[in-house]
Amino acid sequence: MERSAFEEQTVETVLTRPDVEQALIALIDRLPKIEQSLRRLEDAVDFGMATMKDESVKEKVDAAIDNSNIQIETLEAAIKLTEKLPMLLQVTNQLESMFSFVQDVYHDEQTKALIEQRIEEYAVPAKEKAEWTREMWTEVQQRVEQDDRHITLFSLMRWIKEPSVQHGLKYVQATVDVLNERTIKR
Amino acid sequence: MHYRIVIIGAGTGGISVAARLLREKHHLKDEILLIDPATTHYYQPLWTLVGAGIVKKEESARPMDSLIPDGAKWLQDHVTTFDPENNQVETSSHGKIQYDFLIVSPGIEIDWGRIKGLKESLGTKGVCSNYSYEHVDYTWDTLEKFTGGTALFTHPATPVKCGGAPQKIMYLAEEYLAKKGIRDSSRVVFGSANPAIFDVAKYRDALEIVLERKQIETHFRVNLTEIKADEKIAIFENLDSGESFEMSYDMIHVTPPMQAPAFVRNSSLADSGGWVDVDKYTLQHKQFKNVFGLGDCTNLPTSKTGAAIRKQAPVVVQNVLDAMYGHLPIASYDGYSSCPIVTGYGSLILAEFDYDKVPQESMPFNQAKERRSMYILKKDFLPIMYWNGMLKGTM
Repeated sequence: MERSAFEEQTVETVLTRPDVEQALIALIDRLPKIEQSLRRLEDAVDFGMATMKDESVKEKVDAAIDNSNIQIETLEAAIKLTEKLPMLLQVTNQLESMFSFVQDVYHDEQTKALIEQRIEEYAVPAKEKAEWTREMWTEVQQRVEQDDRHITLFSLMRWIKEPSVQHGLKYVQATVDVLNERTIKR
Repeated sequence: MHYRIVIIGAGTGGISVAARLLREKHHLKDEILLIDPATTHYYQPLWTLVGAGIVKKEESARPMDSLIPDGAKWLQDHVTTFDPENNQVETSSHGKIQYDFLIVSPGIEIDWGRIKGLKESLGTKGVCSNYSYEHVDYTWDTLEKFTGGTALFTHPATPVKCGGAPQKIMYLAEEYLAKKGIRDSSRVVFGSANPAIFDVAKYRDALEIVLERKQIETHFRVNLTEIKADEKIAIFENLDSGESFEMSYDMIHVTPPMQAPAFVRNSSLADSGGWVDVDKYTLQHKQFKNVFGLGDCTNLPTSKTGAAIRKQAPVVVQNVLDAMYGHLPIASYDGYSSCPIVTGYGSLILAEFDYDKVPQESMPFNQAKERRSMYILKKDFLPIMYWNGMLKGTM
C-alpha cells in the first residue's frame, strides 16, 4: 500500500514551508494581544462562576422569574418572533412610509387645498342634483295638498298621452315582451 | 467644496434619491448636494390635462426650495463640465465641486430649434405644445377657438419624455370637438415617427380600437421637419422613403424633438448617442464605478417616465450605499415604466410594462380597458402621491 503525501510530511518539513513560517511569525507577533484577550476571557468566566455561586444573586434571579409571566411558551414565542423579524421589519418599513406620507399630506397646505378643491368638484354636481330632487318633491307635495280634484277616468286618459308616462309604459311593455319570449323558449 | 454625494438635477430623480438616501442613512445629513439652476419644480404629467382645459397649470408648479429634503443642500447653479477621473464637477458660478459619489439626473433637453419655424411660431397661429409651461395653456385656447378643419398632432423621431403624451392630447381634443358639435367638420390626424401607436402589444391593440372609434387618421414613420405657420402648412419627412411631403392644418400640436442636455452629451459620461451610459440593471456608470444615473438623461432602453424613475430611485440608493460600504451593487432595475394614457374626459388606459415590453400591471384587473377609475387616479391621486410621497422618498 502506498503512503500518502501527508503521511510523508515531518515536523521539520512542515515548519520549513514558507506559508507556515509566515503564519508562525504573525502568530508570535500577536501573542501579547492573544494573551491579553485570554486573560479578559478568564476574568469573565471567573466573574460568571462567582455570580452563579452567589446565593443572594441566585435568589434574586429565581424571585424575578417566579414573579414574572415568563414561561417556556414565552421563550418559544420569542424565538418564533425572532424568526419573523425580517418580515416584520419589511412591514414596519411600509407602515413607516405610509405614516410619513399621511403626515406630509397633513402638513402640506398646497396639497390640502388641492384635495379640498377636488372634493368640491365631485361634490357640487351631486349636491345640485340632490337640491333639484328635494325642490321637485317639495313642489309636488304642495300641489297634492292644494289639489282637491277627483281623479277621473278622463284624467287617466290624459296622463297616458304625457311623454314621460309614455316613456315609462314603453319600459313596462318591453319588460313584458322579453319575459314572455324567455318563458316560451324554456 | 467636497460632498460625500453630489446629485446633478433636482427634478423627479434627484429629489427622490436625495430623500431616500437621507431616510436610509441619517448620518448623510449635510453630506448631499443637489445642483440645479431651476427655481421652480414642475409636475409635468399634469400638462396634458392643462392643455385640455381640465386643470390650471399653476397646480403643476412648486418653488424648488420647498421641495429640497431636510438634510440636503441645494446649489442653484449650472454644471458646465464633468471630470469623473478626478471625482469632480465644474459649475458656472461656484467653481469645482468634489464628490465621493456622483448621481446624474438632470432630465432631458427640448430641442425646439430642430423643427424649422417652430420656435418663432409656438404659442401663435394655432401652433401649440404641451411640452412648455409657458405655452401649455395656449393648447386649450386654440381648442376652444377651433371651429373645424384639420387638427394635427405629431410625435418626433427622438426619445421623448412620456411617450404617450403626444397621443393623449389628441384623444382629449377629439372628444372636445365632438362635445362642441364640430367633430363632423374636423379631421383629426396623427403624424408619428414611430412604426405603431404603442410599443407594447396589449396596449397597442386597445389603442387601435380607440383610434378606430374616434376616426383618427394616422401616418406612421413620418417626422415633422418644418412648420410654415403663416400658411398653416406642416412639412414631414417619410422616414422610410426619405421623401418630404406637406400637410395643411388649422391647428397643430407639436411634440418637439428631445436630447440629453449639452453638458451631459459632451462629457465622458455619455455614450455615442449622448445619453449617460449606465448598466441597465444596476444603474451604475459602465466606466466610472462611483457614478450612477437615473431618469430621462440615461441610455436605459425603456420609456422615459416619472413612473420609471419611481422604480429606479430605490435601486440607485441601494447600490450607492452598497458601493459606499465596499459591497458590490446588486440591486436591480427591471425596466419598469408606466404610461397613463388618457383616452378622453374621464377614461384612461394604464399601461405598465418592463424592458421586454411585457405588461407589469399593478391592479387586479385588465388595465388595457379604458376606465374612469384610472382617470381619477391620474387626475386626483397621482399628483398627491408625487408631491407628498415620491419626492419625500416614501413612494
